[in-house]
Amino acid sequence: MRIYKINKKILLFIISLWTISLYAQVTSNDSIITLSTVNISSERLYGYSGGQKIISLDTSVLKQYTFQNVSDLVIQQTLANVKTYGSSMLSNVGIRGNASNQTGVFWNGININSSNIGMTDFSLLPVFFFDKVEMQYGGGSPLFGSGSIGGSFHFFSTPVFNKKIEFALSGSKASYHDNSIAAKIVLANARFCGATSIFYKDAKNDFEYINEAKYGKPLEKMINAAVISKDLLQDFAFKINKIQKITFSAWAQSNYRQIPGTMTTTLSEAKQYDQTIRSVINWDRTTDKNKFYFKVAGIYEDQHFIDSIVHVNSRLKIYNQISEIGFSQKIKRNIRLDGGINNTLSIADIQSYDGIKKQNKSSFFLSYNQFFLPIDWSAQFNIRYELMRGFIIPVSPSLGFEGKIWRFLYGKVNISKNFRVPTLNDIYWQPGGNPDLKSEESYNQEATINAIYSGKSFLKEVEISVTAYHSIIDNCIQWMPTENVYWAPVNLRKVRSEGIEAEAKGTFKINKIFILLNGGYSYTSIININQISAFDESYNKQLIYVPFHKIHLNVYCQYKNMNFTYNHVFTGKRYTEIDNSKFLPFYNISMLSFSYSFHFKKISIESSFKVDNLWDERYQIIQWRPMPGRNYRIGLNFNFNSNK
Amino acid sequence: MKKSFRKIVLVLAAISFLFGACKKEKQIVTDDNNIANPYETGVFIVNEGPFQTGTGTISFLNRSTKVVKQDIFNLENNRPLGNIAQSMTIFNDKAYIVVNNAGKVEVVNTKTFKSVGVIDGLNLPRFFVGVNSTKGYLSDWSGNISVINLTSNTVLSTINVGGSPDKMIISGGKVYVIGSAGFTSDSTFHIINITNDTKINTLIIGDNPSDLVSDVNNKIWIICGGISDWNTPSNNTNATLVKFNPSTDSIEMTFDLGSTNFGAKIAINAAKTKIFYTLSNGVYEMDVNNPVINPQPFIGKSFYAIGFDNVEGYLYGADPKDYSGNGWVYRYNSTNASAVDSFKVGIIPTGFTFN
Repeated sequence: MRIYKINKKILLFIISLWTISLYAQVTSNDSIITLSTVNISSERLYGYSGGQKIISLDTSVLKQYTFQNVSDLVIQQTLANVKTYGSSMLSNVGIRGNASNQTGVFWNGININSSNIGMTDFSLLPVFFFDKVEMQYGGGSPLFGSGSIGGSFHFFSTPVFNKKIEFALSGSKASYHDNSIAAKIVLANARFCGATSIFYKDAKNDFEYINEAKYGKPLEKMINAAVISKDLLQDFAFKINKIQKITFSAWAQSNYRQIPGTMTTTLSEAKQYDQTIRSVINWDRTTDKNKFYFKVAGIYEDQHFIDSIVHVNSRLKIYNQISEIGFSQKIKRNIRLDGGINNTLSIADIQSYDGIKKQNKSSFFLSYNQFFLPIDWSAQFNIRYELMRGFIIPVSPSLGFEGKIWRFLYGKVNISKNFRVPTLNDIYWQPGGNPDLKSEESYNQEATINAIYSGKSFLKEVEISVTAYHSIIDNCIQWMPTENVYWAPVNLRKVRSEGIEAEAKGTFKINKIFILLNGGYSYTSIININQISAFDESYNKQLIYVPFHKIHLNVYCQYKNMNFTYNHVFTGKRYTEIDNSKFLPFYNISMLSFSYSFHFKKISIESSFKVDNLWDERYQIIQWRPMPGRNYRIGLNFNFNSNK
Repeated sequence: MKKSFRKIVLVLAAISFLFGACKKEKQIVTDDNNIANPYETGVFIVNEGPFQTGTGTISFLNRSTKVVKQDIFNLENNRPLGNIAQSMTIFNDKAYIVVNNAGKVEVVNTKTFKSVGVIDGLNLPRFFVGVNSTKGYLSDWSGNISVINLTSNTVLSTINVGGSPDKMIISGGKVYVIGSAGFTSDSTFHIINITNDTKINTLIIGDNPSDLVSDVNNKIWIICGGISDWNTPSNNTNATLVKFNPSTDSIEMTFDLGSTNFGAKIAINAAKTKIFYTLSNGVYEMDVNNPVINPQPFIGKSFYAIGFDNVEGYLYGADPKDYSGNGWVYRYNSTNASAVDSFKVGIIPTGFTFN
C-alpha cells in the first residue's frame, strides 16, 4: 500500500511533465498518432535490418560507465568516430566516416536528434539511464528515416515485469573535482513496473596540459571547463491484460557547462545551459500472430548560449512531437509483414529564424520478411516514403539477405537507398537559409561474413565478423560563402565512403576465471569525389577528422567477486585540413578498471577503481583542444534487491 | 588456479606494454634555412586560418623568385601563430602580428621572422599602429585603444573609445580610429591625441566604417560598408566613401557607392593619388584630385582584402575561395588592370604587408 502511495506521487510528477509537453503542442492539431512498444526499434533492428551489421552493448558493459556519458562508451566500445571537444564537452559521433548529422539517434524508439541541426550531443547522454545500447552500421533510412546515412544508435530503458523492489545508490569521485551520484528505485510486480533514476554530476575538469601552441610550451591548467548535469528518468510500464501493455518514459535533464577556449585562443567566458524534457508513451497489443502499437512522444529542448567576450547571447527553444502507429503481422509461418505511419512535427523558436518556424513530416513504411527454411536464409525488403511540404524526398528502399553459408559460417548482404532532409537551420537560418535545398541521398551496399564457434571446454565461444561496405552520398549539404558575404547551404558535395570492419569476440573459462575478449578494427576511406572548382583542393581527399584506422580492444576478467577490465583504443592519424596538408598524429588511449563486490543476502556493495588514459598519452581529438592525461576514478555502489 | 591467474595477468601486461610502448613524441618538422635574413624584402600575406579551433598563418612571397613560403611563423618559431590572425604591421624593423581570438600580438624580427616578444592578456585585438620609438597603439574590440610600451611589450594604459575600434591611421600628431561593426552596427570615427593618449573627439562618419587610407594631400579616405540587416532589409544602407580633412577634423565629401558591401576595403597607390576600393562586384578606382565615382569597376572581381605594393606597382587581391581550403592572391597591373599572376596562400587571406 505504501508503495502505491509513493508511486502516486511520482505519477503526479510525471503527469505534470507530460502536461508541459501537451501545453507546448497547442499549435499542432494535425498530427497522427503513433505507437510502438518500448523496444519496437530493437525489433526492427533485428527483424528487418537483415544483411546489416549490428552490435549490442548490454548492462555488463554499460555498468563500467555508470558515471560517464555515452561519448566515453562509444569511443571505447565501438568503431564509431567520436569528435569530442574536450572532457565532457560537445561530442559528435559519426559512423563510417559520415558526419554526426548523418547518424540516427533513438531513445526508446523515438528520434532524439535536435531538429535544428539534425544531431545529438553524446556528452549529454548519461550511460546510467540505459539498459541496452545498440548500434547499427550503414544506411538505415528505410527503417529509421531521415538522417540514418552512416548508421544509427538506439538507447533503451526497458521495464521488467517481475515482482521486486530494487534500490541502487552509487557515488563516485574522480580526478579534476569530478563528483557523481547515481540512484535508481525499481518497484515491480507481474503487471506493473515503475522505475525512477536520478543522475547528478559536477566536475571542474581543471586538468593540466602542456600548451604546445605557446612559446616555451608551458604547463597550463584548464579553466572555464566545469560541468553540472542533473538528470531524472521515470519509467512506467503497465500490463492491461495478457496481450496489452502501456509503457511511459519521461526524461528531464538540466545541463550547465562552461566552454573553454583552445590552446590558440585566449581565456573563454562562454557557457551553455541545456534543458531538455523527453517523454514517450506507448501502447501495444502483442499476440503470437500479430502486434499493433501506438506511440506519442514529446521532446522539448531549451538551449541558452552566452559568450560575454564576443557579445553572444542566444537562446533557442524547440518542441518536437512524434506520433507513430504500426503493426506486425505473421502472414504465413515464414512470412511477416510490418508497417506503419510516423508523423513528426517540429516547432522552433530560434533568434536567427524569421519568426517561429513549424515543420511537419509524415512517413509511411513497410517491411517484408521471408524465411526460406530449406536453405536457412532469410530475405527482407523495406521501403519508406516521407512527405514534407515544399520538399521532394526520395523513396527509400532496402533489400537484405542473411543466412548460413557452411557449418559455422554465416553471410549477410544488404543494399539500401538512404536520405537526409535539410535541417531547420539549413532552411530557415537568416541570412542564408535555403528553402530550395534537396535531400541528401546515399546508396549503400555491404556484405558481412560471420564465423561462430562454440566450444565446451576452455574456449566457450568465438565469433568473428568481417564487413566490407561501399556507399555514395550525393547532394551533401554544405554551408558555403556567397557573394553577399554571408554563408548559405547548398547541395554541393558527392562523397564516397568505403571500408572494412572486422570484429571479434571470444569467451573463455580457465578454472573459475571467466574471460571475455572483444575487439574490432576499421579501415575507413571517405573522400570527396566531385571537384567543385579548379581551386577545390579537397577533391579526392579524405574528409577531415576521419581516421583511416581505428582499433578497440577490451579484455574483461571475472574471478569470484572481482572484475578486471583493460580497454585499449588506437586512433590513426586524422587530417585537419581539407587538402590533407596537415594532420593530427595517431594516439593510444587505455583504461584499466578493477572492482570488488560483497554480497549480504539481498544487499550487495561494490567498490570500483578505474584509471583512464593509463599511459598518460598527450593527444588531441580536435586540434588545439587539450585532453586530460592519466586520471582516476573511485566508485561505490550499494544495491538492494528483494529478489535475491 | 593461482598459476593460470598469474598467466593471464602476465599476458595482459604484455599486451598493454605492447600498445603503451608504441610511441611518445610528436615533432613538427622544420625546414632548415641557410639564408640569414630570408624575409628581408617581400610581401607578407596574413591568413586568418580556419574558423573555430584553427590557427592563422603568414605566407611570404619573394618578389624575385615568385615563390610563396607558407606558414612562416610556425616554420621559424616551431609553434602556431594562434586563432584568427587579424593584421600585421611593420614598425622599427619589427612585425606586430595581431592574433585576434588568441588575445595577443606576436612580435617578430621582420628579417628572420623569429619571435622577439609577445604582448598578451588582451581581449580581442585588431590593429597595431606605431606612434613613436617607444609607444604603439593597439585597437581592441573591448572598446579600448591599448597604449603599448614597445620596449617591454606591455600595456601601459588604455583609452576608452567604446564600440569596436578597428583600423587606425596616424596623421598630424593624431591617431584616427574607425569604429567598425564588431558586434553591432557602428558609424563612429575616433580621434586620439598621441601626446597625452586621450580621446579628442568621436565623430559620426558613415554606416559601418571598415577601412581607411591617407592620400598625397594628407586627406583621409574612409570606406564605410553600409548596413546589411538580414532580418529587416528595409534598414539596409549603401556603402559610402568619405573624404576627411584631418587638419580641420571634418568631413569634406561623402560619396554614395550605390550598394552595400559589408567589410569593404580600400588601398592607395605609391604616389598616393589613386585609391582603390571594393564593392561586391569588383574593385573600383578613383583619382583623389578628381574624385568622381566610376560606374564601371576597374577589376571585375571582388576581394576579401586588397593591397598596393609600392615596389612593383601591383594591386593585390585576396580571394579566400571556399573559406575552408587554401586561398589565392591575384596580382594586377595598377595602370591597366591586366592580371599579372596568382599564388596559393593560406586559409582566408585577410591582408597584405609589403616590405
